Amino acid sequence: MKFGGSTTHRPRAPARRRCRLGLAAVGLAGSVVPGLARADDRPDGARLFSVACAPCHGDRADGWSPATRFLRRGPRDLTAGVFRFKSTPPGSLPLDADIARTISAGVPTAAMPAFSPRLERREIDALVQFVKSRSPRFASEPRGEPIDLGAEPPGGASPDEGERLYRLYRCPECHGETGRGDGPSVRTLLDDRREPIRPPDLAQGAWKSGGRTIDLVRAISAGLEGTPMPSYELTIPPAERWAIARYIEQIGRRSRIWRWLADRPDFR
Amino acid sequence: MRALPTAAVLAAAIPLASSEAAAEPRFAARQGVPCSLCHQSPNGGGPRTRFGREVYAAHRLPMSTDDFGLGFRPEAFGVDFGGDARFAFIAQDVPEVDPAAPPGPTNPSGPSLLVRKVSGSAFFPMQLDGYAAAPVGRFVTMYADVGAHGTAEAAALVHTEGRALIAALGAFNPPFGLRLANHTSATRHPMGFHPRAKQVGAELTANSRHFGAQAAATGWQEGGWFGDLVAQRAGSVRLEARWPGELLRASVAASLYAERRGAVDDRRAGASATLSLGRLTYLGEVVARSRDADADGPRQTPLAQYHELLVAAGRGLDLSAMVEALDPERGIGRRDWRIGGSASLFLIPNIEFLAFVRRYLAPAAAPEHDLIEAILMLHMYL
Repeated sequence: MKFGGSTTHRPRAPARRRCRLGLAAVGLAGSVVPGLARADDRPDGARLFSVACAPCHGDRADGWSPATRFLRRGPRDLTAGVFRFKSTPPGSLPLDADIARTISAGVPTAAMPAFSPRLERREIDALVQFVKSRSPRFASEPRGEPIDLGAEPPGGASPDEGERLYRLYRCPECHGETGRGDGPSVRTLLDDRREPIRPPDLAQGAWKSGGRTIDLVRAISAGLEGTPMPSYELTIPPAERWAIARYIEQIGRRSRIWRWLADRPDFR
Repeated sequence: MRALPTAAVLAAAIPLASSEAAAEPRFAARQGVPCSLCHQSPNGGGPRTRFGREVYAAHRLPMSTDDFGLGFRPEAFGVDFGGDARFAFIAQDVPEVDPAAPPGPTNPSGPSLLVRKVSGSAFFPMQLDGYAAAPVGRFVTMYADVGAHGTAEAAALVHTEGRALIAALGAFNPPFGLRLANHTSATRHPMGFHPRAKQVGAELTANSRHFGAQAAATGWQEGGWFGDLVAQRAGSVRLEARWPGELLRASVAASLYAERRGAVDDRRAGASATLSLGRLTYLGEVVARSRDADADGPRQTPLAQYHELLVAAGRGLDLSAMVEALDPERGIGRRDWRIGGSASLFLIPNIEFLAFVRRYLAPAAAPEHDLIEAILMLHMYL
């Protein structure tokens, strides 16, 4: 009977330790995801994937599971080696840190949950190696080189300048004049599965690439592979990318009441 | 005499003690998905699938199971085990019956029910269920859900790998309408859908992203086995259309149920709708029932309604308000109305706290006049 097993998580605060002890007293003590460590206590990436990832991405990591048809965009086929959120140029493989970031932080507004702090860093690293093993690209192609994201100008980038640049670089073509994802090109956009895809509503205040300014800069710089969002590494200087990111953040701060109402604080 | 209020409350609470095993239509409504995505049973409730256990329950309730080092995931020999335990404290005004009183306007066929009201309260184990579920290869799953109060549900599921098609053979509640967590709701137990009313038979379920269809042919034994299965048989059909948009998610469903118990026919028809817009979710249902009181009695056709509006105030915190209506039977001539509210809090992983209040809106002469039920519940689940 696989009760318990190796404990792979630690309480994060004294209050939680007390709660844990209290609950243990009523017979609820246990361990998380039992049996996920090898005999030498290294996390077992395959077993972790089977428990944490396969319910959506499928046992074969090909994106096919009983949940696939009910999720809005479907889980990613990890065997294809195409990853949307990365810091390397289009067509090149992601960094280990890119995959780890997606696993840790999840994809806000989408069905991919955040696995941190549920999983420890070393467990996420084990998962990254297992995910890479699912695609032959990682064995046959060279590692991608990260794009230079630059640094935010001293004093901070200007959202007003970002708005000017947003229009200068024709972002409204897809993202719309106010970032609502209602640009004139929307009806023609397809993803790498040849399925219609819409730009996100940037005013929602939560972005799939992540919630930090640098995450937005990364998305602008590297693009989102598998979607019509191109890489602007060669067309927009780094300082201007930061300004556009600051403008997008400003868009997202509008209409807080609507954002609160529209948010679903659970599974998407 | 002091024991009387507690005993009366317990007697009134016995129907509550057979609560549905953790069926939560609001979760399915919010996601725009069928119950079978998270639950082994296509009708929802009971043991959960890998997705329900590892994804929805693990990630979308308030905090990670692992924050507290919890996360029992007991399994052995390929069988997943789980369970539900609910403990409730109920406080209620209970009408006391005077058997010597003459028939009154509220009960023309018997003594007046209301003499005086007695307040009482009781604490009791509301539900104790144990689950087991085991996949047998890629296309078969066996599951069982046994309750300490005498309920038992078990089935062999033959399904496609993605569970788009599921054929169930066993004992289960037939598919109908919204499987509300509170089976004392107007459209559930009062309309004949009691969680103990498991029926033996076969059920076929088909689900695509936008449509769902279920059909079941069942029977049950009362005092016998296969002979009575023929005399007491039922069939049900449920059709659903879903819109799982990004912001707006909705569903509408129509259900039909018919049973023959001896010489008595009982037919039920229902329509339900769910609507989820961000944090707001609406669950609504109307059920009509047509049956003979007995083989020679007059046909009765009560109508029940259930409407609930929920707000996901925070991750793991649900607030709701509900309105129910139940048409009278036996010619009492009054529609029962109830209003209520609840707060559900998943404060600790695998544990839910629920506070529920319900008030009857009935005329002064009615037994339910000013009747208020208040329930505090602790729900632990694996």
